[in-house]
Amino acid sequence: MLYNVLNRITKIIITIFLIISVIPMVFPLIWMTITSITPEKEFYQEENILHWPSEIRFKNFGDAMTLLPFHKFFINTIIFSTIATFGSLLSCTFVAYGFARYEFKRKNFLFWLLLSTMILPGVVLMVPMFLIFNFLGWIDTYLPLTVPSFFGLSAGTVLILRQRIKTIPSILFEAGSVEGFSAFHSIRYIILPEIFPILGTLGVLHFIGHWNDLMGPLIYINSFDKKTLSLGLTYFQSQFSTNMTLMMAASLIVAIPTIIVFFVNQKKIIKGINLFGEIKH
Amino acid sequence: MLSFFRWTGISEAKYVGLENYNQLINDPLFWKSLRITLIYTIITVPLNLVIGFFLALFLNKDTWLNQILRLGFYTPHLISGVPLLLLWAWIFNTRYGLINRILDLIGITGPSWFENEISALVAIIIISVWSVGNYMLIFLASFQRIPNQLIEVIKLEGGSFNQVFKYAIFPYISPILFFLTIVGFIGAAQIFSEAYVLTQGGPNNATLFYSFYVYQNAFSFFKLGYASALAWVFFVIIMLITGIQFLLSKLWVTYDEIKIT
Repeated sequence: MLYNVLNRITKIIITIFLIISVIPMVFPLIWMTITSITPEKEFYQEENILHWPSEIRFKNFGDAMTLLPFHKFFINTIIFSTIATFGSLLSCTFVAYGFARYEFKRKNFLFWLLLSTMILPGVVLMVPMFLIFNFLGWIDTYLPLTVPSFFGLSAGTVLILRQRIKTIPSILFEAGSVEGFSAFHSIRYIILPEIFPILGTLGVLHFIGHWNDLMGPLIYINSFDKKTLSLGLTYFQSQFSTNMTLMMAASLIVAIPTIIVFFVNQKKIIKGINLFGEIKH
Repeated sequence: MLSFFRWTGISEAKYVGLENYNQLINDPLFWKSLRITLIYTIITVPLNLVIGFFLALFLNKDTWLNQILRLGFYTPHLISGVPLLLLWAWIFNTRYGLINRILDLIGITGPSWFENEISALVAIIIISVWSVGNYMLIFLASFQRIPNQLIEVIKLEGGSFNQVFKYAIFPYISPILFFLTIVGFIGAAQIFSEAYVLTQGGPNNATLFYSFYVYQNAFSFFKLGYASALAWVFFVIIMLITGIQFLLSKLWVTYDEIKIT
């Protein structure tokens, strides 16, 4: 009896604690959104923490976009992220197909070699890659940011795709080879329909990774016109750091892809399903 | 294929200067950045794992309140990358920042977060823990593979929570836990943007994370050879620690579920 009561009480305390601790998780984003629509003057005058602006100023978003050529950065980022994502998926599919369907010498060794690149810190590659691209004369172009992805850079993606391809019944491939399918045909007509959902999830992951990439553009892009959104935003911060309202507006604009992903996956989060759950195991 | 690229890059740099390594051993900033990066990693990875685990444990039951709370703890993932850092740059702002405004309300004058050596590091750790929702979600997903009967049986036998954890939960989540430790460790050790956007390695090099130091050497000071030496040493350290983790994992990870090949 007493044990039960105690148990009840601890449960209630834990629940209250959780409810309180969820506030600092959510509140900054709410405040960020409110700030982004507050007139600048009001933001600095107001002593209250939660202050609904007297006038909702969506113009902040427009102002933030015009202070710097964000439309250019937007186009730059979309183009390079899309190409790099496409490259990764394409090359990883080919490599995964090779590892899943072909038998060759040292296959296991090569596969473990590929997997071991997962624990390779990016900073180790920074200087050698820079030297290579410098030698090729690719500095200040998007080539260093896109071309490597066409060579199967992402070991994790290859692993996931390979696992998935392995589950496709081999009878399909045999039927294909009777019909005279080449490897390309097999990939196009047998594998692609099967792995399409996973490719979508992986694509989103890759896309956001490239979208948010700061170090890559920082190293390879010099000219102002070619900056990406991440770079542009850091530049924005260094130039207009006192202008909080516009900075928050600009940040929200740059965060659009992650915001979309969040809301699309809302149901999965509520149910406690790992967003990229189909990827593991 | 790419590993060959790496090889030539590194062996080239190695050839250029053995004296680089000599310089490295005597470079106080090298030791400092290594120490700071390790401190950051050793604090954030276990902290995230433990908080994520307990959140998942408490929110495991499918009640409506838990569902809302799950969404709440995951909201930080609405934004990531530089926007996330700018949000925090502003939350930690000395005069207008959210935290210092709240502290003002209770009558405490908040510190200048990024101007004090300790608070700068603390601030960056807070940012990392804020995004704990991801760990929570992964744990929640892995809990779903634990057979409920097993837990019921242990409870019926009068088992304590410790026993439930030891015999029912832990064996099922240990592969995931191991995976998260490895990935979390490598991810945390590579921390770069925080230093670049928020602190520029300051104050007094208190947040001079290793990747940022390598970046500085390579692209601010143009000491490419030295930066390569730094990177190479870092690589060896990461490999060693990951290797040790793999060796230790034999002691505690239940492997029968992992099928990599």
